[in-house]
Amino acid sequence: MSEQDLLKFNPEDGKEDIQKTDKELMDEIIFLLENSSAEELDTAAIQAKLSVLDERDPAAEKFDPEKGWEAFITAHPFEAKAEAKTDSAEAQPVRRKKCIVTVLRVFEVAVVLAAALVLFSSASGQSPVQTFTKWTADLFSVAANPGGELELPEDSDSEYLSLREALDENGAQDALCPTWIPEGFALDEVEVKNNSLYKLFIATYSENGVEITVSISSQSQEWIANMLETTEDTYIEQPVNGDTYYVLANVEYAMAFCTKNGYAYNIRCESSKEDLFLIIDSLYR
Amino acid sequence: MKRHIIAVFVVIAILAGCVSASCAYIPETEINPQASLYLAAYSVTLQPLGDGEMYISMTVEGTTLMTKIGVVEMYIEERTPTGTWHEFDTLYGLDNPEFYQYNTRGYLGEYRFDGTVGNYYRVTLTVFAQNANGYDSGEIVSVIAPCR
Repeated sequence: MSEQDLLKFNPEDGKEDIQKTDKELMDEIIFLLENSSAEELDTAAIQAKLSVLDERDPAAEKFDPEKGWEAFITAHPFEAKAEAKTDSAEAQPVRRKKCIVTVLRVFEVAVVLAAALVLFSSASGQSPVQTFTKWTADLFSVAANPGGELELPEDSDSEYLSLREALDENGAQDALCPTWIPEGFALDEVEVKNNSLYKLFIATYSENGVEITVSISSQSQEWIANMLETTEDTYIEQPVNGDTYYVLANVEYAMAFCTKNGYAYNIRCESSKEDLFLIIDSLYR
Repeated sequence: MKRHIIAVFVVIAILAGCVSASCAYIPETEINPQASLYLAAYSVTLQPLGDGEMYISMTVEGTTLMTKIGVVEMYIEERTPTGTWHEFDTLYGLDNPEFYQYNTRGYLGEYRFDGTVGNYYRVTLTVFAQNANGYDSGEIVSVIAPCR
């Protein structure tokens, strides 16, 4: 069929249309629609072709959108629900509700953080503001000071290259260990001693003959008696992270002593009391 | 909303538990106002092991590297059910080479003895530290421990 023939309606074409495939009919309808002006459009021809198509597939006219939608929801429940919410008139209230839930969650987190701050600070005998200020000050202080060498060189003959390694390899993984010493100081040696039930770890750091010693001993808290030598009979009980440190002085050094979870910590610092407190803080970092 | 409030209180309760757990028992610690150039700290543990066996663990820490450090004397006392204390045993470092260690910063030793079940014991140690500059000694008394 030529293009001219297509543009001109012929009632006999109805018979020919019956013999055509759906695709051929659709192509002709599209051709007529695209190549005819409004005045020339042969609506009768298009109607005839559509009638042929409709006779072949009447379901299209009988399609019930509501039934189809229900079938779609049954097949894809979650996607369908999401679509429904987006398209529905209730979309705006849902967004508002989500916003309120987000605000509540932020509030919950703030309450938990505030409660934690109050609990931990009261345990250490300070106000929450003091604790927060001290925490940030210490954080920046330690971050600003890179610290000394906590480990021996790899080619060292020593059995252990660090106090942490000695603790880990002798079943004291749960013991605290300094993560900072003053800049310029370096680890000299780590001594480890064992008897049947207990262990003693002694790490010595030095700079130009000035020493810092950290000793950690496992202890039975029920049966132990400790003695500390000091220049004076006074000492400070310093709470740090809920633990009590006895801070005192012997002839040439400041010393801090604490027991926690079956270990006794004895830190002796010949450099300064400030360094001693920073080393204690580093135990908890 | 109710679920969120419960979650907040659960977290607070857990944190409170952590805080109380960290405020643990602080064992007996004495401060000896006798400054020492040689001794920094020392300790003694006396504990029952069961079947009448008693165990003593002792540590001595020097202020720096020591040529000799340890226990000069170990004095063990026993308290009978009548409440009286008497000497049970005395040991000396001279007779027990394991009571000393050399060229080290600290000493860790131990000793075991058989007691009488039902009686109580205590130990007094005389500790010692020495280097090229001199020496010093100190004394510490253990807790009183029952023999089981």
